[in-house]
Amino acid sequence: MTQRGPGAPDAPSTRRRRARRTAAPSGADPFFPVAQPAEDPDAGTAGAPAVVAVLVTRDPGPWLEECLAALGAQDYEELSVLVLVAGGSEDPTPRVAAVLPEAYVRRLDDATSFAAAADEVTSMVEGAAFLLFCHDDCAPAPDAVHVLVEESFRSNAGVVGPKMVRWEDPSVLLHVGMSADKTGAVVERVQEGEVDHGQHDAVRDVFFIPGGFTLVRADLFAELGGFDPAIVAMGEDLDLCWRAQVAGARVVVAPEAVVRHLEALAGGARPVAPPADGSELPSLQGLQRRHELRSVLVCYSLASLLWVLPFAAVLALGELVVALAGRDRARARVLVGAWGWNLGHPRRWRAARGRVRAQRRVKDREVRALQVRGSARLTVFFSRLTHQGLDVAQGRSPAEGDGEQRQVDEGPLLTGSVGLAFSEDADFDELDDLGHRSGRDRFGRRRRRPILGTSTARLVVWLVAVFVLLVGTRGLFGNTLPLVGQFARLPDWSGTWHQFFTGWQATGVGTTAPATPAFAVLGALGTVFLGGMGLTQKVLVLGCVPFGAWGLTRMLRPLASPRARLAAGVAYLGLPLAYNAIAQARWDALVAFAALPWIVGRLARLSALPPFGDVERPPGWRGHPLGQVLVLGVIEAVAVAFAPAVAPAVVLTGLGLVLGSALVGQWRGALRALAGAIGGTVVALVLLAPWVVGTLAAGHQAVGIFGLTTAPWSAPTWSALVRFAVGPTGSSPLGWLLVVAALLPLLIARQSRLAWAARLWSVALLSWLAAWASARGWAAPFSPSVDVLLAPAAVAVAASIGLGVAAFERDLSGYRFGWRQAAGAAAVVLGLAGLLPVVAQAGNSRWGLVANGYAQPLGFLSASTTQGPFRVLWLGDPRALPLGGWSIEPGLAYGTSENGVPDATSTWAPAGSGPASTLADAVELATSGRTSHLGRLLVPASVRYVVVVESLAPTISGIQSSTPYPAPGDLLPALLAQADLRQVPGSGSGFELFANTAYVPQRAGRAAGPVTEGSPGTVSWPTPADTAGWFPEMPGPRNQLSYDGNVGAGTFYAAYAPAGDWSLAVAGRHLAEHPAYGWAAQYTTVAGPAELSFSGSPLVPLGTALEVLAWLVVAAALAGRRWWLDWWWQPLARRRSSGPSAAVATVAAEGDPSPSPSEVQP
Amino acid sequence: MSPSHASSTHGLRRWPILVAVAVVLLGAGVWDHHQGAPAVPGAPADLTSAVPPTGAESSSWYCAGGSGTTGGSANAQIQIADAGAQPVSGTVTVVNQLGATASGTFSVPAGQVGVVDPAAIEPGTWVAASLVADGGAVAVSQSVSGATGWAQAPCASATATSWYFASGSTAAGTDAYLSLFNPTTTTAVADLTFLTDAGPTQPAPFQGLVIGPGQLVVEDLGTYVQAQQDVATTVEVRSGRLVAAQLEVATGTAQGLSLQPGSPSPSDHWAFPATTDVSGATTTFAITNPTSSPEPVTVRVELPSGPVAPFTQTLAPDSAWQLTTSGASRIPVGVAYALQVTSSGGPGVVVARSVSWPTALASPRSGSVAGVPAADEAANGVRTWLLPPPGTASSPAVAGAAPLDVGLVNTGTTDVTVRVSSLNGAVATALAGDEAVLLHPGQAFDVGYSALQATAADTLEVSSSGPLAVMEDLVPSGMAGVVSQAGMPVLP
Repeated sequence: MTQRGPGAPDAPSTRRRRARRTAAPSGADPFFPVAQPAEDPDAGTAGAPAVVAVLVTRDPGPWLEECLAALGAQDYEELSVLVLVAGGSEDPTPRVAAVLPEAYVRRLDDATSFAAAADEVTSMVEGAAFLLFCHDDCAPAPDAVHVLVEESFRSNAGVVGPKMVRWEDPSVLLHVGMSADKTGAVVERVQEGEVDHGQHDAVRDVFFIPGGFTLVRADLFAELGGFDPAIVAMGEDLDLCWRAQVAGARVVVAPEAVVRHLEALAGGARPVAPPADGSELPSLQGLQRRHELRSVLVCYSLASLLWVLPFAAVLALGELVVALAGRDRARARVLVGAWGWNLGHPRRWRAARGRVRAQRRVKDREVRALQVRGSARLTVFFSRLTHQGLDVAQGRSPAEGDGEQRQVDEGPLLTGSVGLAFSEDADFDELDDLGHRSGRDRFGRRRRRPILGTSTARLVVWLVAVFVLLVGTRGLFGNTLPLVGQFARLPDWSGTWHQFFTGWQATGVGTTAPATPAFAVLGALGTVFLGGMGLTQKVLVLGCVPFGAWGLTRMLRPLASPRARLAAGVAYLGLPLAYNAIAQARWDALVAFAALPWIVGRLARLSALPPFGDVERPPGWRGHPLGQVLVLGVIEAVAVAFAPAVAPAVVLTGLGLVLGSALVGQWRGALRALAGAIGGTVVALVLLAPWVVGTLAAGHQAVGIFGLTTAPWSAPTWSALVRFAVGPTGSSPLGWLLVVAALLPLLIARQSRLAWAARLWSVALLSWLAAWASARGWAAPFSPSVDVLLAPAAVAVAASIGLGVAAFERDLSGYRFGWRQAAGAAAVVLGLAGLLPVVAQAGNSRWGLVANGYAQPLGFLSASTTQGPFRVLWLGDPRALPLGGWSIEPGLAYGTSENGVPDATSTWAPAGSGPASTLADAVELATSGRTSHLGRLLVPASVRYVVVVESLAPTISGIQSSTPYPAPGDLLPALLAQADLRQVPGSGSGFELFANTAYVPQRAGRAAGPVTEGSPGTVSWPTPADTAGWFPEMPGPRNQLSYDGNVGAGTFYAAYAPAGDWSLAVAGRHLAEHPAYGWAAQYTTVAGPAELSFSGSPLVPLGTALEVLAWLVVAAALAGRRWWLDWWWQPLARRRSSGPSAAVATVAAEGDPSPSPSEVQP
Repeated sequence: MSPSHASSTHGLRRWPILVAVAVVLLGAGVWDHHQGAPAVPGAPADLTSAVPPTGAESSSWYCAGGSGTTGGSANAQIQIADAGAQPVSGTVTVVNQLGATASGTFSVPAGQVGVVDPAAIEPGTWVAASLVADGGAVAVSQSVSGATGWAQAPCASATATSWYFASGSTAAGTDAYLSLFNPTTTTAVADLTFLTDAGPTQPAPFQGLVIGPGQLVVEDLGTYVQAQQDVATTVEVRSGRLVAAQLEVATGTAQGLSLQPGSPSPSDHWAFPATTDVSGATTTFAITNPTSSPEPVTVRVELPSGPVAPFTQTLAPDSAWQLTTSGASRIPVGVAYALQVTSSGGPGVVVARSVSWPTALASPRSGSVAGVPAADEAANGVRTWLLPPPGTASSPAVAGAAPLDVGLVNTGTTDVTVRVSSLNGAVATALAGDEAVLLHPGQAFDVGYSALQATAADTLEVSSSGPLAVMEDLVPSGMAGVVSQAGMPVLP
């Protein structure tokens, strides 16, 4: 139905109109002051081309009159107004007539959308040069049409748009033309709330004119076929202008023309009209997204579409993932709906595409010149992500069910988590600001806390991590740890203490070197567990991993937020080092993994470098640097007792801190860390004094205590070391990701975070280099355990990841948007993906540790004691041997066990091999082809079996495989060539077992005379006669350090060193001891009851007792009440006044500023 | 970095640590990748007749292939040459094919030669002996003699898991016996493979042969590999280790004895220092490829006047090449030449030389000898070789047994200087003049009979500054090359 307006009997064609400046129904426009009337009112636009303003309305609000009045006030003479009523329940004709009686009103009940209604103008208007498409909520300044038409001619533009300002406040800009990216995503040219100071008042080409007040050349409009009627709302302006560009028309914004725009539709003041077919419409956001995609499908050439469409699809997929991750179902539905609507019904856009192809005058390349580069949405997302955080970028929709909030959601704000960041709704920025000020956004919604911003959230993450640990460890809970690597069975509780206090060890062929204090630690822990040494072992082995992670979070406490510390802790748990240590059965690596974070934390505090200088220190002497060194020394001593290589690792860490500080230009305080590392090491050595003295007594062999030189041919590669892939976990390329993620703080961190990142990376580099050199044997015989040397690097990498998160939180917002933001986001993704290898390995349930060790296939050896006590000589790579030992050559070490497979008393061999070195000499003779009777040469040590270990564990076909550690190629052939070594049938895969056919028991007698005496310090080999006629005597089990039984007349041989510390008494009478082969003992005996007993010096037990006493004192000092120590310490501290403290304060002042209270979140 | 960024780091420098990280991570990675992981050091090349050096704690020798009964076709005699400065003593354990074992002792003065008759310790149709000496620098060889002639070859100083024999024959008039001796304390199980003109064959009776500890098993190859002119034999030991030796008894016109110790592995470089083709005689080099990969083989002949065009052929897996040099026009008759065989395809080949002279003159008139594994000796850094004499003056291997000549050829790529001397007690007499002989790469040198005539019962010692191949011809024989013995390398 159409009707004329009451005051407009004629059609609005080209009839000349008079100016309507005085026709405003409500007097002067309060926003756009009316210019002074020209003396000749018709002089301004007389003879100007006719313009028909097409005002489309539907159930208009109260703003309609103002809009009509503004049109009526235009100073453009040739302006006619055509009001198209696109359905609706209200007939606005009376309102139009009241304000603008000359306007022509036509009602279109079939066309309910703006585009469809506007297109009707082509059949209604003739002779107009321009069509001005108006929303009913736009109020132009009086000269707006004039300016637009002028600019159309001046610029030869096909489409011209004005500067749009806020309806209620014209000083604030809304739009000055708009742009879009290649996927059709709209990009605003002005900032939200940007005040108009004329900064955008230059005429310029834009990609499109936002709807509301758009002047279009009538012929162009006709050629284009008008608006796309399929676009019911949101996007018809983009589509029209894009097609105009394709057709070769310019699209220009003329900012001199100013239009107030209420944006009633986008502002939620009016709903979108339902389609005529009654179908349900999506949200405004959904309409916008589907129409953007439609424009892409319609307006691009096929060649462009071939690459733009996949690009858009990938972006949409990413957005979908983000939306789903953020539980933004609305956003996800919008995306799916947009793509489904377009791709599911290609006929909807195929015809339109054909028309555009026919109209094409300009190539896409030229059209794209006006588009923004890249992805507008992605840019906005990352910008908000980095400037305002992930929570802002991924803000959430209000909870459904809240009526008020739902109303907001369904409104025009295009809200929803990603929607905010991805949409063009600039209110988002405001939301953030308001949220910060009030804790609630402008809609009253509670502002969301940052991800992992609550202790509950962090606890959940920790629980997940613990769950993964438990899942990965579940196979180790029930069963005994297999005899591989250093996981030998612990002796019983009393045996553990005895091993520590006794003055003699059976290792090798016997030694009086003090045992490692690790046995004291084990004994103490075993006491806690009521003597359950198996439980003690498992608690220690499995507890090292979480203990280390805990230490790392404590270490970063002064430096990073709880969230960053959580990231560091999880990253530490995500590094393969600890799990490979379990798989490789390395005590030392596990202990280092547990201890290094605490040690590095102590070094950081000792350095007093910012922000550690501000950390509150314990009162009294413990707060003094010397007290802190003592604490560090205690921690280090415990670690060194189990893993001696921790000592060089600590010094290496100190060096790394100095080096990193020097590199970053702030090295002074770091020297304190190095001094602390050295001091702590000295304290540790003092606390371990008896064992250290025994080690130093080994002379040139002393360095072997740190580790034996491994085979370079089975050494891990550099890349494996950097990935900590020294075992079955982490060998995939994913292992790189955590290391790469750790680079983030070097790129984006500032202040103390940058300084510490540099220090930590220096530590990591030194650690890797040292491990590399050790693995390749470049510093042999100084070859500290590679796994231990990697521990500082693991600490550094994990801590750097934590610093990266801290920098992400604190520093990233200080940079302009660019690659750093992308790097930050990439680091987050890489860090998460870098955890996958460990998570995947958790499925193994044992972290790769085999189920069957050497105790299974070689368990029968212990049954051989019926033929007399014996030793087993183990040969192989140090990493493969299930016991401690000494080196023969790189990749070949040896050790002995008594009467079968070894237990933990053989795990920590003393540095000096003592007379056991004759075993190495004998093996070297065999491998060099200088003997064919190795068995006979092993007789003095009573070696009955020789085991050549070539893999970490026995390989059982179909059941388990293990890491191979091939022995030097000449070893097996040499042993096979020995005339008196018999290869035992049934030797398993991964090891070879030989029986010595010339074996003589450890305690043996014969009727014949003595054997070769030899002389101490020289090698004396037995002759064939020396090995003949022996039978076992005193075969019973060891009673501490004595054996008894009957002996016969003749010669008694005891294969124990040092010979002088053993004595034999027959019938209560001590017999004279004679040397055998230079180190063992032989006695000329008479028949009778006898006792062989150890009668060595009490110095070692005394020393170890003093050591225990020292430990108790230190423990009481550190953990007990302090008053009894402070009585002497406090006066001393007072005398020294503030010397050391002042120094600390001075250095702290020299460093970079301490972090703000918000930066340090304990 | 923008000025604002610089100020925001409070004087901290970002780029040095970035550079350090990049340099270390990438530099070490590139270097490590470029260097690669060191290979697992393999077992040293097998030298089954290597003499342990002076100072060795003990040394063992295993002699197999001979008979030990009156009228036996190849009665064995063992020569023990002590090349050290100390007397050496030891034990001899002899086992016959029936498993009977007996032991004896021996003692050899420094620089002297001792002789052991295994049959005197434990007789048998076939016997094998284990000798354990209480020191190094002891070379042990075995001579066999019978009605058809005699031969001498080094005993084995080590067991092995495989043995290769490049030549052999079961043709009419020739019997071939393979002695498998297990001197270890572990049972060995062996499989035999024969390579004939018809290709490889593995007769079922020769599979899974069980040789107990200390036991001797002798197989007559003609039983199942009948009437084959050329037979190459491979012994693969499934478990345990063995010593293998092949005895050929030719009873036809070209009668003779051949005792070949097996080669424990193929090698890519073999040498024969001196070979002389005689008119009417046939000299054939059997080059066998027992591996699974093709082997391009080059045979280089060095005449005193210089090299001649090499013979080349690519040997398919499990194939043999019988190169008859006596029929090659490029090699003149009556001129001694050195011959070296090299291969480049894989593990290598095994090579033996057979000489036969069917004319009924002096006996023996045929014999075979394995080549000198030049590559293996070079890999072990051998610089000294010993040649035990064919018995002592009082107990010669056969009547009149003596060295005919000693051939030397430089198998390396640089000049070497060589000294040849005879050992008799504490006296070492230089042969071939007092001056060291200079040999260019590939050049051969021959110590003639005249120089050796006075040292028939002495151990010969050859020392060189570089790799060398040493082989001597012995008399009595029908011609040079019928009875030959390779020099025994002394481990450094």
